[in-house]
Parts: sequence; C-alpha cells; structure tokens
Amino acid sequence: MKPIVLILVTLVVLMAIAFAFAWDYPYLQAKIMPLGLSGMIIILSIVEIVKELSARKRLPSDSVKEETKVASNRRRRTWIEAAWVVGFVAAVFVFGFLFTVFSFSVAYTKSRSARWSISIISAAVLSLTLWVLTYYLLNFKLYVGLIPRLLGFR
Amino acid sequence: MFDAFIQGLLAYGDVVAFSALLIGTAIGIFVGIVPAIGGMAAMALILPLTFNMDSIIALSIIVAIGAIAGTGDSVSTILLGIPGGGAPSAATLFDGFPMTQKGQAGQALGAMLGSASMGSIVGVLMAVGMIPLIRPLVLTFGSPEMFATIIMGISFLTVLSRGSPVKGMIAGFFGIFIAIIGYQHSTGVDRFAFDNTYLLRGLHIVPVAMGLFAGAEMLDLAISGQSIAPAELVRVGKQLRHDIREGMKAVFHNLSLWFRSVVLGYIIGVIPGLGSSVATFVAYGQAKQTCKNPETFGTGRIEGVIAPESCSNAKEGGALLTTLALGIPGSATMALLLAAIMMQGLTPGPTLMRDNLSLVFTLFWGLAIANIIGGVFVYFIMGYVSLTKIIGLSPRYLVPIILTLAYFAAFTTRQLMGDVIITLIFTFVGLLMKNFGFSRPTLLLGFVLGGYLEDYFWLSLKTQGSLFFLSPVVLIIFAITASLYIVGPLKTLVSRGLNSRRIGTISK
Repeated sequence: MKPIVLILVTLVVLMAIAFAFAWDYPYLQAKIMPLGLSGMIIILSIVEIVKELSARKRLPSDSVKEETKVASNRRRRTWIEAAWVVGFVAAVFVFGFLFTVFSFSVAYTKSRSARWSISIISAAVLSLTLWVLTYYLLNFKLYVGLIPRLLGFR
Repeated sequence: MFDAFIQGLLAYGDVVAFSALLIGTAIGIFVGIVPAIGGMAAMALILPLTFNMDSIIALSIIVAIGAIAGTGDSVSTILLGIPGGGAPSAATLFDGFPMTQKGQAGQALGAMLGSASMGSIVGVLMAVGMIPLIRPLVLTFGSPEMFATIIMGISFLTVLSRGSPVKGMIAGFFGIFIAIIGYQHSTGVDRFAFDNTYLLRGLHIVPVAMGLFAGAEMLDLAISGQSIAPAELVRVGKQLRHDIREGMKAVFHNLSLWFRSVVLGYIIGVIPGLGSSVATFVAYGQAKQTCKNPETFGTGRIEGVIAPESCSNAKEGGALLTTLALGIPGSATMALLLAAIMMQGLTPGPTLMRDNLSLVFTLFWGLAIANIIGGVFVYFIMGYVSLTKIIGLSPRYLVPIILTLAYFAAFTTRQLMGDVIITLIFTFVGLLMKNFGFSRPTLLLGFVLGGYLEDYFWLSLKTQGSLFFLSPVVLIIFAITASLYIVGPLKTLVSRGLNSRRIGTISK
C-alpha cells in the first residue's frame, strides 16, 4: 500500500471515531462542528484515496530503481533523526531541560564528528543561554525532570 | 487637536523620554529575535519597574517593546523558520523562510523591514485621523460582522494550499478540528479532551506552529544533512546590505498590495477581538488571491512577506486607538499597555482623550518612531553583525540550537510539559505533511480561525437571530470575499481574450 493511502486511511479511521464520539454530545451547539468537520474530512480523504489508487502505476525502469534506492536511504535517515528528536523530548521528561540540552547537544554534534572542544563549548553556551533566559529574564523555573525531582530538586 | 498632535511629538525632544523609547526598542528587538521570550512576556516583566516612572517615560518603554517585538520576531521567522510569537509571524514564514532557503534572506528581511516600518507609520496616521470616528466604527462591528470576517479568512483555505486543493481542504478542516479540542465555550461540553486537564484548555497556537514549522523543518534539515541555504548563497556584509535595500525597494514596487494590507490591518486592529493572527492570514490570503502567479506563493514570493508584515504593523495603530479611546484592549499586548496606563493613575477611554490628548498623541508618535528606530537597528544588526551567517551553518550545529529553542519556546508559553509533547506530535505531523504534499499553512489557518468561527457563529445566532447575516456590513464583507474569487478569474479571462484578439490581428 502507498504511504499516502496509509496516512489517509488512518485519518479516515480517526475521524470515524471522532464522528461516533461527537454523535453522543448532549447539545447541538457542541456536536454540530465536530460532526460536520469529521464528516467532511472523511469524504475528502476517501476522494483523495480513490484518486491515489486510480493513478496509473509507472513501469519499473533504471531511474525508478535509483529513486527507490534514494527513498529507502532517506527513510532510514528519517527513522534515525526522528529517534534523536523523540530521545530529546524523553530525556527532557526524565532529566529536565538543562541537563538534556547540554548532553543532547554534545552527543548530537559528536555523533556527526564535530571536534570535542566545539561540541562542549556550543552545548555550554546553549545551556547557559537557557539558564539566563529563564532564571534571570523570564523569572520562572524550568522543568527539572522526573529523576532530579525524585532526588529532591525543585 | 493639532496643538496636542505637535505637543505629543515634542515630548520626544526630551532626552530622557527619547532614551526611554530607545531602550524599549532595543529590548523589543532582543526579545523578538530570541524565540522563547516574546514581546508580551517582556512587557509583563518591565511593567512593575515602570510604577514610579514618569508617565511618558514608562508608557514609551511599554509601547516601544510592544511595537517592535513583532519585527524582531519576524527576523527569527525568516532566518530560522521559528515563529516565536506564534500565529502573527507564521504568515510571514510561508514565503519568508523559503526565500532564505533560496539565498534571498536579505531581500526578505528588507521587505519585512520596509513594509513593517511604513505600515506602522501609516497605521498611526490613519489612527490619528480616525479619532472622531472610532466609536461608531467599533460599535458597527458586532459578532455577525466578526463572523463574516472569519468566513473571509476561512475562504482562503483552498487559496493557501498549493498543489491538490482536496489535500489543502483536508489540512484546513483538520486545523479547525484540532482548534475545537477542549471545552466548548457556550455549553461547557468536553470535546475530545477525555477529562484530561491539559486538553480541556485546548491546544495553544505556539506549540502547534513550532512543531509544524520549526520542528518539521529542523527534522528535514537533519535528514537531508544540508544547511538552511547553501553556503555559496549566504550573503554577508556589503552584499547583504544591498539585498536588504533591494527588499525595501520591492515594497515600493508593490505599493497597492502594501496599501491594501495596511488598510486591512488597520481595520482589523481597530476591532477588538480579532487579533493579529486573523489579520496576517487574511492579508496573506488576499495577496495570494490578487497577485499574478498565485501558485508560486509558498515558494518564496516577496509579496508573501510584504502583505502580512505591513498588515501586522498597521494593526498596532488601530489597536492602540481602540485601547486609548475606548479603553478596550484588542489583544493581550494592549491589555498590558492598558494596565500600564492605569498604573500611572490615568483612566483610558473618553476621559483620557479629553484630559490628556497630548499624551495620547505622544504614544502614537512613540509607536511610529519606535518602528523607524527598530527598522534602523535591525538593518544595522543584520547588515554589520551578519546574523545571516547562521543559515549557512552545518546541521550538526544548527539542529541542537533550533531543536532547543523551538521546544523551549513551546514550553515557555504556558510552562506546561504537555506543550512540549504537542510540539513533538506536530513535528512529525508537519514532516508527513511536507513529504506528502499537504499544506501546513492551511492547517494553521484553520487552527487559528476555527475557534473564533464557532464562538462568533453561536454568539451571532443568540444575539441577532437566524438572519444575522443580512446586516449591511456583513453583506459588504461577504461581497468583498466573493469579489476576491471573481476578480482573479475575470482578469485571466479578459487577458486571454485580449491575447487571442492580438494574435488574430497579427495573423491577419
């Protein structure tokens, strides 16, 4: 199945669930917008699915094979970079902003063969900027993370 | 009135008052450029410090910060694709960031500075001229008229999308759909929040915009392994200053578009309750609808920068007028200004206009002068410090910076970790949309206007009955909306007819 079709089918399923939920809302004012919107999205998605499925398939050729190779390489890189981003957010949750920003910055730049000195200096400047911004300029506390909280940091 | 107008300007002849304006402008630029802070936070932080100051000095600082933070914000929007202030600068992002990617950062910055500075000056002049008419104008705009304006904005859903209109509409309706998550305002029904306290508040524009644009662009940058713009296209020093001036000249080449956007911004600014986001999106939509080759919008058209920027800055003049003359703040920034005025022992509204007219004009002058000074500041910061070098940085350094700033900005909005999660979700949604040809601006437009659409619809129905759309102003707004869709195709038909006649004459 084409990835775009998969995305649209997922959207149709999600909107069908939303439609079913909205049906049970007690007031007309509350249900009319979600019913209308989810209904419209379902119809339009089905139209787009039909359009995608009825599009003619190209015959495999050398250039297509090359395209497939590039696409699979890009897909692999997408998973790796997406893992970095998810890891960043997960680390913020567990260790808090300051520690994560410093360690993420060092780890990310080092994994792409930057020099140690540049990695550490750029990470330190970034963390320091964040610290000054929050504690001195914006006057609020950054999220400290689950583990520091368990250790008694507030 | 003319005496007060001149007296208002002369107040800045005082070195201390002028210095206050300079300080406010410098703070405004700084907080605008750094994506996490924003003008509103800076105004809120400065507010207590102004308590014992002279009223002109105190209010000049506040006005300058509010006036110029948007310009600073547009700098990071154009260069890095991070709309720090949320929706207002998001409309600049649609074409400003692609211009940077094409190596035209200087032109984009120049167009932004030129249209913003000129827009704010004309907005202020219009505001001054409209002082006697402000009350009837504001009273004309009830909820049905607001609803009609929102419909005008929503009608741009298909206009904003490039490529497949069906995909554009899916994105737009999805944007409206996520805008209605949370409590329904008139009934209190929990819609798709499932009793979750974070979702019950509804999603905020900043994490959604950060994920869709900054997050997705950053991820795409990391995947491609290339810098925002190729190093050979990054201009600095003399070349960059030349590009900025070229961008400024482009405003004069698009004077009618600029003027339309200014008028639009001013009117939306005067009306309390419609906000900058509506203004900039409507301005962008009308620019796309009325300019030649609308299909190239979103790929880096300078008109796509001029329209939202001039509109956004002209809006400030209108909003300031409503705040001072009627005591009704049109936005959160104006609410803070209102608080600052009250802290000085003054009462905004007709009393202020009667007893302190010269102070009112001082604030209008302050708004205009701050924008001019701010424009000059930004020109020198860009042209001589060469901040544009950042766009040529390798992703291995740029990704941690953008990622940190985007997620940090999302967190600072309400200081909720939920906003960080939403940014993460929309980072992936944004990347999928980009890769599969769904329009992200359309989703954001739907999100911005969706909440207003429902609120004003039910309010209009309750207050004016089912025939609320028959009021003259509503009909005029609907006619303008319809004309935007008729004029374009009509122009094409006429030019085709003329061309075929010309070809016929030549062949004869």
